[in-house]
This record gives sequence, C-alpha cells and structure tokens, in this order.
Amino acid sequence: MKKHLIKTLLIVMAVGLTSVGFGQAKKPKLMVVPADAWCIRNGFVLEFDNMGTYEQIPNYKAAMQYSSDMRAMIASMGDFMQKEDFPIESLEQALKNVESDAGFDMVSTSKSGSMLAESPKDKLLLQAKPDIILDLDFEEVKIGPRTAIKFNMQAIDAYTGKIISGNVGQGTPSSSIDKTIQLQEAVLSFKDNFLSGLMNHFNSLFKDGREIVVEVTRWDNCDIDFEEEYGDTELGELIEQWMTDNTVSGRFSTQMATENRMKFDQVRIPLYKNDGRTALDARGWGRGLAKYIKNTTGQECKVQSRGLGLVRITMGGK
Amino acid sequence: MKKLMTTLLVVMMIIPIASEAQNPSKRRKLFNNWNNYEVSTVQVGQDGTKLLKVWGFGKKVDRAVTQAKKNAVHACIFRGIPGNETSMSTPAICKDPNALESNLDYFYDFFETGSTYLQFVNLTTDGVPSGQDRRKVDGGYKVAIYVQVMYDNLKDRLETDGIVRKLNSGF
Repeated sequence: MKKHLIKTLLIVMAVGLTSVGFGQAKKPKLMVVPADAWCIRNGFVLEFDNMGTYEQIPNYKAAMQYSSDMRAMIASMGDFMQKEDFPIESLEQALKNVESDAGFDMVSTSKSGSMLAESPKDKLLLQAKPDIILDLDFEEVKIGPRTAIKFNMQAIDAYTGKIISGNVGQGTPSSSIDKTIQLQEAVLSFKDNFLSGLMNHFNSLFKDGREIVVEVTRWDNCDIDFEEEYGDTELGELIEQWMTDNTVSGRFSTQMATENRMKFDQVRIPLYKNDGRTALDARGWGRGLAKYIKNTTGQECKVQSRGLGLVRITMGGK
Repeated sequence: MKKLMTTLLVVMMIIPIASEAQNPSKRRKLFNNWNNYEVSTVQVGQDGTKLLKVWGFGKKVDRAVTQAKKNAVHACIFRGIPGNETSMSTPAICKDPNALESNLDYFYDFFETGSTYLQFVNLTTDGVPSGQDRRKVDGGYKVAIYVQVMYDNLKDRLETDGIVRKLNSGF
C-alpha cells in the first residue's frame, strides 16, 4: 500500500515538474490598424498647419465610429484569428484606453520641460503595444457596371518595420452581391496566405530567435561615454562583444555608434533564458546588458522597453 | 477437410491485400502519380474551403477521377494552389519539403484509395467528366473535376496528427 502511494506521488511530482519546466515563449500581440492611405481616401483625417506645412494625420476614432466596412473587415479577420487561437487586439478598445490616458499625457513633459510630441499612431502603438501591426487598406473599384474590392493587407513587425506578410489582390467583380459579402470574400482570399506568412515568421522566431532593436544611450549628466577605455578597449567595443556573446549565433548589426549613442538592429535574442524555461523578451534581455554595463563602469542604467521587441538602456542613473 | 480448404482460401485472399500495402512498387506508383498534375483555383470558396479544378490520369475514367481527388488534397498539403485574377494563391500546408519522405507511412495510409483523404473532398462533379474535361491520352484518360476541399479541416487534421505545427504552438 505504502509502495503504491509513493509510486503515485512520484508520478504526480513528475507530471507537475514537466508542466512547470517547459515555459512558453511570449505570444506576440496583433492589431488591425487602418492604413494611412485608406484614412486619407475616406476622409478620416485630422488636418492641421504644422508651422506652414499642411499635414493630415489618421483619425482612427472617426474611422471606427463611421466606417461599417472597416469594422466588417476587422470582425472577419478577428474571427479567423480567433479560430487559430490567436485573438487580435481590439483597435476600438485601444483607442478608448488612449483617451483615458489623455489626461495623463496633458501633464507629461520631458526632462528638458518640453511637452510630449506624439502622433495619434504613436499614442495608439504606445498604449496598445502590438508586436505585429496588420495594416489594412481596401477600396471599391468599378469595372464597367460591376464593382470589386481591391485590398492590400500587410503584416508589419512593429519594431523592425519589416513586412512579414504582404497580401494584395482583387475580389470577384459583381453587380448584385452585397458589399459586406464582397468584403468577407476579400478577407477569405488573403487569409491563408497571410497565415502562412505569420507561420514563416514564427518559425524564424523559434529557429533564429526573436528579432529586436536595442538602443544604448547616456544621460547628459553621465560622466562617461561610449569611447571611455577599460583596459585597452572602448566601452562601445565591450558592449558589442557582450552582444556577440549573448545573441543567437552572434547575430546583430550596429546601425549607429557614437560617443553618446549606440543603436543595434536585427538583434536576434534567444526565446528563453539560460534556464531554458523562462520566456525572454527585449526588456528581460536588456536587463542583462544593463547589469554588464553597471559591472564594467559602475554606472546605474535605466531600462525602458516597448512591447516585446524594443529596449532602450540609458547609462548614468535610473 | 472442407474447413481446411476454406481456411486456405481465406489466407490466400488476405496475403495479396497485405502485400499490396507493403509493396514498394505500389508505393512508388502512388507517389509518382504526383510528379505531374495540374490544379487551379476556380474562385474563393466558402470559409475554410477551396474550390479547385484539378486533373487526374488513369487507365479508366473512374480511376482518373479518383486520382484527381487525391491530387486535390495533395496540392493543398504539399504544392499549394496557384491563384487567379480574383483569388490569391494558397500556400501549401506542409512547408517542409521533406514532409512526405519523413512521414511516408502516414501519407501512404492517408492517400490509400477510399481512405482518409476523402473526408476532405466535400463536393465534386462526381458524374463522368465530358467534353473539354475528358481527354483520351496514351495509356488511358486525363480528366478534370471541380472539387471543394475542406482546407481548414485538412489543416486541423494534420496539426492534430503532429505533421505540421499549429500557428500558436510554442507560445
């Protein structure tokens, strides 16, 4: 009886450890955002005079309130992504959150005292933090007496700006089919190609690591810069060496390196920490670099991130 | 004695069936049929389906039709389907070029005549193809049929059977 009980307990412990032991990578967030071209074409824009230059910026709130076509497209996309167990973030909800934070933004200033300068899209992206933006554009085109839906849907990595999946096409022309049906047909037309593009992106993620962007800067009042030498090596070089040691196959590109600022793109970081079970994102990975800089220079570092794929480390204090 | 004869007869009938399943030449023939066939998208299907025109070759028309149904499912899994002016191309469900070789037994069973693949061919012009869609060629017939493939169900099945990864696996 006792032996049986011990055996059962051992099995339960093994199952428990297994389920805890294998972590899951952090799931990217997806959001459908109307393309700028669509907003301008349909008049969903805010116009203003920017010191003599006439500018138009998308008015997403109006687009979501007044365009039933856009809502139909987003609903169709949300439906099939839900079936894939990958629900997309609601643009409407994100807009409401942006509004609720508007009061906070009104009093936000930078260290130099200047007000925050952000476009509606910046605000939206900062609030919702989607990792993949589904940039959607479509229009009704006339072909003789018939109409068809022309669409252009791009899945864009929010941090690298790379197009993960591009889908351009035109639906079946018709003079009798309801427009909503035509819009749904357009979504069904690009659905599988789009999902395939996402799958390729995720496969690349698991194979070569997550692609992120890393910025290393210094506060104005920081005593040292990236040309400061430690032994015979400059701090900038030491950081690059650390990057080589801590990226998948040493893959990254130094986009910019000055005495005040370094920027790295195409940085491939592992999906998991060294323990093999804790999921890693840009912020978690950036903390490692911040610790290294602190150990090398004795300077505290501030780590800021946006979503899973962008981290900024500022040397010289928190 | 009569019982023995009956048993022998039954055994003799079973042996060829069993050997057919394992016969390498039969297997080669099944897979070689996929080296050359034509498939095109007719129009955007209902949600989760693909409406295709696909050709098949066989000594008799019936066999050519059967082969065309297999080709339709094969195209969805391994080849992908070219688009046309009103519908985008559909990528293959299996991206791995070695998927067939590495799962040979699975796909042999899957594509055996009258087997699993038929669950995903929902609607066909099952009558005898005629006119432009039926051609007499050397060694048999080449026929075209219009097929509705249950693409999403097929993908789900391959994901469940562990042949392809789910979109959200690993997250």
